[in-house]
Amino acid sequence: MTVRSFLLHSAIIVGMAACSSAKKEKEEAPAPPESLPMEVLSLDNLDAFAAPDNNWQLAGNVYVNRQQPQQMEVKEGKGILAFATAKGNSTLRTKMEHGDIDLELDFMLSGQAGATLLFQGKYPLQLKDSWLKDSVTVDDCGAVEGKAPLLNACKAPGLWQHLEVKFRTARSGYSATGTTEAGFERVVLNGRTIQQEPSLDSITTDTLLKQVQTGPLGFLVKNGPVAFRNIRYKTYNDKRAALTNLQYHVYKGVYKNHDTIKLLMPVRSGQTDSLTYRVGDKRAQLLLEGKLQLPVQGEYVFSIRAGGPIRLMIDGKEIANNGGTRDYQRAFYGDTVLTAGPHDFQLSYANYDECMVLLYEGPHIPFTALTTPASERLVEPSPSMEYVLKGEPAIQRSFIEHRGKVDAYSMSVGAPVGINYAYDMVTYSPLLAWHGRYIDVAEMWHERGEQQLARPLGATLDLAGIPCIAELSSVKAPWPDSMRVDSSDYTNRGYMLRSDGLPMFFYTLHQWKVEDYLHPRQDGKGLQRDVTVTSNGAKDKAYWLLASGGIIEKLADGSYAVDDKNYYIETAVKPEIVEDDGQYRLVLPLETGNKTTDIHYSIIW
Amino acid sequence: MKSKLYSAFGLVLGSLLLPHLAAAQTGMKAKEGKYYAITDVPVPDSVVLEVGGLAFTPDDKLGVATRHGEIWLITDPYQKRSKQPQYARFAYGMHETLGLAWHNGSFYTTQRSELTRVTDTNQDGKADMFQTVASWPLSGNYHEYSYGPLFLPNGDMLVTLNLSWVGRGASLAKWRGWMMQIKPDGTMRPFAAGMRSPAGFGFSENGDVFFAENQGDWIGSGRITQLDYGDFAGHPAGLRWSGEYGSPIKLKPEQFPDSIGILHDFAKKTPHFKEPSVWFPHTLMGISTSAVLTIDSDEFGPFKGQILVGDQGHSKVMRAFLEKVNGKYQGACFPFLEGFSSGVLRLVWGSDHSLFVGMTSRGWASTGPALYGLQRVNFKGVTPFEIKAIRAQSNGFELEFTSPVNKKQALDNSLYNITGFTYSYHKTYGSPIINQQPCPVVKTEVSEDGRRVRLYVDGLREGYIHEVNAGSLRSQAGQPLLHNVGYYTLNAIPKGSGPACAVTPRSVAATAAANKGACGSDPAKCVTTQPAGWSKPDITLQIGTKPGLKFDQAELKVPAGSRVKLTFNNNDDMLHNMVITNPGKGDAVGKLAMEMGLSGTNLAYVPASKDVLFNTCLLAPETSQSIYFIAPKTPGDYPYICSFPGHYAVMKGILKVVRR
Repeated sequence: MTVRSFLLHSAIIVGMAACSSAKKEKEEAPAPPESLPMEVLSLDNLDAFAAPDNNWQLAGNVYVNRQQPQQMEVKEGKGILAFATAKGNSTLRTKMEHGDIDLELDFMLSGQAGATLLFQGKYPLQLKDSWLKDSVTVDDCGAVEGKAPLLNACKAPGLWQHLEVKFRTARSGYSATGTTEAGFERVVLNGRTIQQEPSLDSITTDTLLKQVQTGPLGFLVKNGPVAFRNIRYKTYNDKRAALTNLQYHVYKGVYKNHDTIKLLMPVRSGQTDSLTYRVGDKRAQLLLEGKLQLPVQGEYVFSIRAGGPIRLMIDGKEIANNGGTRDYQRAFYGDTVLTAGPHDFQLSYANYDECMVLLYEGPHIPFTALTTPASERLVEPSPSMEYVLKGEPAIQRSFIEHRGKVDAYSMSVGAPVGINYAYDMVTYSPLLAWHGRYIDVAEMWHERGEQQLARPLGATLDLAGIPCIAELSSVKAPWPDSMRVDSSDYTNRGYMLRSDGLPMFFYTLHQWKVEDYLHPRQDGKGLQRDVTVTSNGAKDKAYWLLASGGIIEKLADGSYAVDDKNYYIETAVKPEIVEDDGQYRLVLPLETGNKTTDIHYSIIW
Repeated sequence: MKSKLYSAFGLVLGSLLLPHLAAAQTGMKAKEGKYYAITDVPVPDSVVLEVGGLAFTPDDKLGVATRHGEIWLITDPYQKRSKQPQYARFAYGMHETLGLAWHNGSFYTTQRSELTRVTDTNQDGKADMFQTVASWPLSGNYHEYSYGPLFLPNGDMLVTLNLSWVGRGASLAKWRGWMMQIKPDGTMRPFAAGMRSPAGFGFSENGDVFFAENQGDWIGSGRITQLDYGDFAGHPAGLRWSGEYGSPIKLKPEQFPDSIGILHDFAKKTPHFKEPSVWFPHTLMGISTSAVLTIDSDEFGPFKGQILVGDQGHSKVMRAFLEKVNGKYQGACFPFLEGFSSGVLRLVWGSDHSLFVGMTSRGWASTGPALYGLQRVNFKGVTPFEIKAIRAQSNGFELEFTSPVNKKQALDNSLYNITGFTYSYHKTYGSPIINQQPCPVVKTEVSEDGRRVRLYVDGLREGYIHEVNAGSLRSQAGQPLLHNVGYYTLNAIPKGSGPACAVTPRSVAATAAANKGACGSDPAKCVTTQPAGWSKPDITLQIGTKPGLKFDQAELKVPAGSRVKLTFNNNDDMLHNMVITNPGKGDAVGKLAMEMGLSGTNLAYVPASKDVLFNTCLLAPETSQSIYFIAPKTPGDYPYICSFPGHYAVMKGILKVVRR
């Protein structure tokens, strides 16, 4: 057993040794990883690339003036791959060659710049400054050969944009006849799926018999400057695990404790070549045992998802367990290091709701199902119910997803110019902003609406969502990150619907009366926020938070790049950048006494 | 997500039941329609009026809060000036507004996370000011509905907060399962606990607060309960917060073992526990109580002071009579009006004393098939012959009728059927009817004016629900009762003089024992051992079930007059029986089974009918039974059905009896 796997299983091992510290460690055991780590393409130097020409350089930081096209300022350092000139026709190729690949990276474009990612050196994915374009074509950002992106998910020049790609290689020859075309199974830009080819999302055994094409990843730039960072990937080969000697045993009853069946005689047993709940009975325990044949040694991640208690054991050790839930949409993970060759495999499932799904991921093996497709219970997707704006703004309260959690107090505000935001009505602070269409409400208004989620119909910019005003002894004092729901510090709160149809939020913190009005900028390039704070005799110091997150930088044009160049704040007021252990705030002191402070600023992304 | 499984299952069952209930209803609806007219308030096509709250403005416009978070203002909902009332959207954009009140120039409505005051400050007919009066945390669970407000005379408001649903009722966020009292300045204090799904609450005639509860875990059946500050109403999940600042209740969830027994006995010894004032027996009355509204005038018929309770799933409005015994409310519920177009959620009085009924059925199917709707009920001025009230007496009940009864007939003890029963108080969802016992009527007296009948009854039990059925009693004028049954919740038997009736536990027990395990009313139709004299059956048949409420064979064949052994293997996950009927009588027997009421479970839902030829017992899942019978001598098609209520229309087949 390697050191790593020992650490991974320390919780279980120590838990078995009955000592007082074991319990503590067990509680602190980190959740198992939900996938294997990606490989990092090092940008400490250019060694990962074959014969880079002089147009390509490493940088420690880059700045783009978003008002000026095709311009970028490059700071010395490493970690960023920059093509710093405006014109060129240069392709940079990795030494790494790939077939099937999952790729993630950040990119930054100067105004009007573009780049083409060439998978296997020849399959193009366009990156382009398509910011604010109403409709996107085969020439725009996110286009792949012959296919326009599903929507415009682009951010402004000079901001880091995040791209995730699942590329599938072409295959041909060998024993199977015919060829399989290469393609983009999925492309996600700034959190939104912009390309999808469902036919590519599963590789069949037939496919695996064919010969794989490989090639390098290319970066072609004609109109710069552009920059890349955080280039990570997983490449896959065609080796897969297999189950052999699979036996099934069906027991009467369903048991949360999977060891109960040790006391029972199966009512039915037999051999099977399919891993599916369908070999068992409804409302009966099913035990599947056999050998898991692994092609290579390495770390494996298993994912189980079932309607009823399920447990995966390998070589007699519990690898994954769903704790007995019937939530068949929730996956549970387990990971372990395994040698190549056969391993004892045992899957125990209490069949409540006819869904049993087991996937695994291994070294250069993508997530692959061991269970058959028929072993999965399909969830009927909610129909789409777009809330269409009819020439005027709209508001709608709902739950909304924010930073991986459900915010239950959100209001979504949409304006027909294609500027939308979501606002938390407990903290009185913006949560999200997005360009494009407004929201989909099917998860609220179809049947029971069990999610109660409004789904933004554009790529969302995450904002902090924390209170924007605070009484602090000094500008450096810790900023409050939440507000109580049931005995709020805010009084006289709510919103007024203005004649333009947009809400103006208002609330009072002690003597501080706040009015907060967000609306599309005149030029349509972002969200303008007009805040009025009146200090009705307030004596204690208070501050307004314009922005917070990762690093905040003041740019040459006077605006601010916030949260590691995630968005811009443009303002005429003079806020202070406060750093607090790697977290940054953009803060403005408020005038005490009986004064009114007007704060105007734009959020641009 | 778990809940989705349960709910989907519930919906399937519900939809299978619908056609039969609807059919049963049309008959009753027509009868009720002689006295009360139900009419549609037309809704324009462009409006999705999923009613969450109803409230009139001082200028007699009807405000309607919807599940989409809108408030519509309906001008002339009485259709006095036009057949199509005018709809104007007053407010929108809120989160599932499930209550509405008008107070001092503003609407007040409850969104999921807050109580909101909604005002049109610039008088342009559209709200522009939305003030959060008070808010409370949510966990993000869809079941965390919030209802209200109900304005108290001092201007404070009450709201109720539904429990979350995780396969059982849970209080995932603070004060879920509580009724909260909110001052106009937003100060909030916990008022009462123990609620599961308190969708409806309102005042009784004298200003006491009643809330309606829905069947579920810990709640054996629907009911209404009167609440005072500091009361606990029965569901322990919300007690998780009883240690929080301001809680008037000190009970803890740990004090509630999974299976407690009889709620009445537990409530007696548990401080704060307020037992239900009136139980609404599940399926016998409705299946999901909603609005609570007191009849405040004589313009709506002879029931002033009584309480109307809506039912979402059964699309009906029920009626409750209340009285105080030993200082606490108890009383009886009665069927009142059924056949509304969608699921009844909200009730409000119009200025002309007509009743407005607001409806929605999205996500919870109702017998009324429409997705939403607004209807109005007018009393036609003709008094129906009804049991107006049931009052508890020291040794029986007094029935008050809306018109004089046929005195001679009313004196017949055997006319009345009284049966006591209750529900289990346990963590499990719902409850069967338990401890059911008949209560013989031993003596009857009729008042001089013929409006009151005094029943002296044996075997009444405190803490039990008593079905009081006045059978075929007619009025002096010869009218049958419009509804001949009521359910009295006998929390306390009043002390009093009057002739003592010996309770005869032996006879009661004997009857109960005789009922137990019975498979239909005639054992000759359910012979489960091979009759003496048969060396062996002439023919042996096997039948099972398949998913979707079906027998696995749609046709069986036997020679006329042959000796048959039939084995029914219930391999489904629900209760089923198999009943063979006379040709063409399958549906009729199925309908009779649905009308068996309380006695259904004990008789395996096999009605005492000559059209029932042979039957199995009611078989639990994964059990089987063989019955023996001689096939009819007359060839023909003999239907077989499962007569469990709601199954017969789909779960059926034909026994073909062929010439030898």
